[in-house]
Amino acid sequence: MAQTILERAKNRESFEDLDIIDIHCHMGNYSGFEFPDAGIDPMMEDARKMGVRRVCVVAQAGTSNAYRAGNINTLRAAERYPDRVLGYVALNPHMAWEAEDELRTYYPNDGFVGVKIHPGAMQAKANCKGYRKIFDLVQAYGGYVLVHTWEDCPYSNVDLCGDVMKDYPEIPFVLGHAGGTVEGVKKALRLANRLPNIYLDCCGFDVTEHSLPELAERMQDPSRLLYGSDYPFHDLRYGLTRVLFADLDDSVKRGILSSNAEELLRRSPKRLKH
Amino acid sequence: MRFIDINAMLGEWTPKRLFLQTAEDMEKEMARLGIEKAYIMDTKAWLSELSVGNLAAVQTAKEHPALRPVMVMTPLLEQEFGGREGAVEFICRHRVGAVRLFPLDHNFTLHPWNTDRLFTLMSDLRMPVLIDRMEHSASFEEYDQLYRLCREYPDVPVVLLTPGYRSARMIYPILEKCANFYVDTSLLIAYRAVEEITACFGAEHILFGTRMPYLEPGTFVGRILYADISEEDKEKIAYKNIVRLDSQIRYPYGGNSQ
Amino acid sequence: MTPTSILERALSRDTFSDLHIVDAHCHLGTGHEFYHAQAAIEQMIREADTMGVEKLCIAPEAGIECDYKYGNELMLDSIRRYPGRVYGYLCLNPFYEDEFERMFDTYYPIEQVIGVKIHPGGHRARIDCEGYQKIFHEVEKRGGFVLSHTWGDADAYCNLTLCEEAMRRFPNVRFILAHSGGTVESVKRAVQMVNRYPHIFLDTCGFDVTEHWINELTEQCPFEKILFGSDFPYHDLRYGVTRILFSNLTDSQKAGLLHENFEKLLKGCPKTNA
Repeated sequence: MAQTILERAKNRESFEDLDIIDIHCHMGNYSGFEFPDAGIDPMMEDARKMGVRRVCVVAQAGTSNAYRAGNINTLRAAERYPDRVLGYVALNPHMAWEAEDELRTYYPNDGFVGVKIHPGAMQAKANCKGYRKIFDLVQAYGGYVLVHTWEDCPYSNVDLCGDVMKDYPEIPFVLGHAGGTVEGVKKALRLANRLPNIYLDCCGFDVTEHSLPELAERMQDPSRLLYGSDYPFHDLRYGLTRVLFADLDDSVKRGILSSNAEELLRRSPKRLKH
Repeated sequence: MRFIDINAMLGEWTPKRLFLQTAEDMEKEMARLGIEKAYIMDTKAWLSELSVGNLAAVQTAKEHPALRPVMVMTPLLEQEFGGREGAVEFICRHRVGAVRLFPLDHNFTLHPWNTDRLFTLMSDLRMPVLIDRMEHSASFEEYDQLYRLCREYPDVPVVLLTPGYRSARMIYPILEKCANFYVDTSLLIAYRAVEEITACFGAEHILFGTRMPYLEPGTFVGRILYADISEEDKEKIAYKNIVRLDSQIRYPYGGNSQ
Repeated sequence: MTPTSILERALSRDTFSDLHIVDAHCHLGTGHEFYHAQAAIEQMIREADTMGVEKLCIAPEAGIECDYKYGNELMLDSIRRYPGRVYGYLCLNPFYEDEFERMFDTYYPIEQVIGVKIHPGGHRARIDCEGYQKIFHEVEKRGGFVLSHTWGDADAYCNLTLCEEAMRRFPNVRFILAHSGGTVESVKRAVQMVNRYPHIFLDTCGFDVTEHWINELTEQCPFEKILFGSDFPYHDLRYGVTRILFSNLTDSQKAGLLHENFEKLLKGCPKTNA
C-alpha cells in the first residue's frame, strides 16, 4: 500500500499538488470562546502554508443571530480570494420567507457552492417546516447542503436528518461532523449507506473514538467521505494532519482531500446564474 | 418620573424578529413610555462576534445620545480585548457605562479563580458589572460563585439581570449579606418582590432594567409606578441608583464622566 | 377617548375600576417550589383593589398540586367571602376518576364556579390521558370551559402537540391555553391553533417571559380569543395588568382584553345545571 503522502508529511512538506479542498470552515471569531483573530487573511495564510488550495466557508455571524450580516462577510471573503474561497449561504429556518431572496442574492456569484445550516445554533429541528422550505429552494436552485449534525442535540441529531433527507434525494447533504458522538457516527454511517445523497465529513467526530480508516472502511461508497476541518474552531493543521497521517492508502487520501469534493461540486451545479 | 434602563439590547436574534429593530425604534418606544436613557449592548457581542458587537454598541451610542454603551466582557485573558490595557482604553474612549457578562453562553465560571483579573480591573474602575442569566439557566453553584464574587470584590457593583420569579430563596440572602449586590426589574415579577426587597434590604438594591426588546419595557415602567413603596424609593429604582453608581466610575483617562 | 388615554392615565397611576377588569388566570396561596409573599384571598383582593381589578378567577395552588380537594374548599371559601369579586375554577385530579362526578355535583351548581382548571404538569398526567378525556366529557355535558396550563416541547405533559391532540377531539368544549404555550416556539404554535380551532383561546401570562410582544397576538389571532390573565400571585398582579395598560394598543383593544373578551367567552358556554 502506497503511503508516500505520510512520508512527505513526516518531512513537513506542503501539499499544493493535491489540490486540497476543505469543505467545512467557518470564518471570524465567536463570542462563545476565545481563539486568535481568524479573519479570512490569517486563515488563507494558514491554508497556504499547508497547501490547502480551497476552503469552503460560512462566516461566523451566518450561523448565529445576524445571519444575513454573515452572508455579506462570506461574499466579501469570496471576492477577496476568488477561486480559493468558496462560500455557503447561511439561512434562518425561523425566517424561511427570507431564504429565497438570500439565495437569489448570493447564488449568482460563482464563489458560492451551496447552503450551510446549523439547526443547533438556530434552535430549529433539521426536519422542521422552515428547513423543508429551504430544501425546496435548494432543490430548485441547485448546490448542496452542509448540515451541522450532533447526536445529543435535539435539533441536529441523525434521526431528524434522515427523516428529512430521504425526502430530497436530489440534494447532496453533507453531514458535518458525521453525527459527532460515538453513537452519532454509527448512525451517520448507516444513513450514508442507506441513502446515496448523504456525504460525511471528517471533523468533529475526531473528538470521538472513531478512527478515519474505520469510517473509510465501513462506508459502502467511500467516495462520499470528505475532508473538512471546522477551521478556525479547530486548528487547520489538526484537521489536515488527521488525514495526512492516517493509516490509509494514498489513493484514498487523495479522494478524501480532493477528488471526492470535486465530484460533489460537479454533481451539484447551481441552477441560478447571473 | 425619570427612568434609566440598564438592560437593553439592539441587534438581531435567531428564532424571531424582535419588536424593536433599530435604535430609532428603541428611542420611539422610550419616548412613548418616558424612559430617558437606556444602556445598550449589541446582540452580536452575546451570540456571534464579541468585538464586532462591542464596536457596534459604541457606534450606535455615539449616534444616539439617549443610548449609553455597555461592553460585553469575559475573563480578562491577555489574548482578548488587548488585555487590561486594551480594555481600559476601550472603556475610557467610549465612556462605557457598564460591563455585561454571559458566563454560561461564553463558557467561563464566575468563580474568582476564573474572573479575578477581570474583577480586579472592575474594582479599580468601580465599574458596574451586569450578570446576564435568565433564571432557568443558572445552576445553584453559580449563585455560590455570585455570592463569593460579591464578597471578594466589595467595590464592584454586581447586578444580577432578569432574576426571575423563582429566585427569592437565592437572592434574598445575598442581598442581606452584600451591599454591592443589585437586581434589575426585568422579570422581577414575583408577587410583591419589589416591595419586599425595598422593605427588607432597601430600594438601593434595585435598578430599573427592562431587557427590551426581548421583553416589553412598558410593563416594568408600570410595575415601578404602581409599586407599593414610597415615592423616594421609586425614584431610587427608576434612576437615582444608577446615576449614583455612574458617578462613582473612575475613568483613568479622557474627559469627564457623563 | 384618544388612543393613548389609558396609557396617560396609567402613567399618572390611575386605577381602572371603570374597565371592570377580569383576571382569568389566578391562583391562591403559596406553592412549594419557590418563595413569594403570602397571598391569602384577603390580601389578593386588597391588591386587586389597588389596581382596579374587579374579578379574580382563581384556582388555588393546592388544587393543581397534591391536594386538589383542599384546593376546591379554599376556592369555595373565597367565593363565599367575596361573592362579587371571585370566580372559581374546579380543580380535578385526572387519576381519581371515581371522584369526578361528586366534585362536579358539589361545585358546579355554584354560580361563581365558571369552569375547570387543569395543570397536567402539576398532576404529572398527559393532557391526552383517559382521566382528562373523561373530565372534558363532563365539561361538554355540563358547560363552562377549561383553563389548561401549557408549555413548550420540553414539557412531557402539556406541550402543544399533546394539547392539540387532546383538544381537537372536543370541539364543543372551550379551552384556554394558559401561557399561550409559554416558550418562543410554542407561542407561534399556539397562534396557529387559535386560528385553526374555533374552540381554543389564549391568555396573556407566562409567555410574557418570552420574546413575544402582546401586539403580535392581537395582530395574528382573532381578537376576542385573547384573554387577560396574570398568574397572580405567582407573578405580581401589577405586572400582569401593566403589561396591558402600557402596551402599544388602542384603548378599545385594552378594554377588550381586560374585560369584554372574557364576558363573551363566559356567555358562550353557560353551565347547564346553574
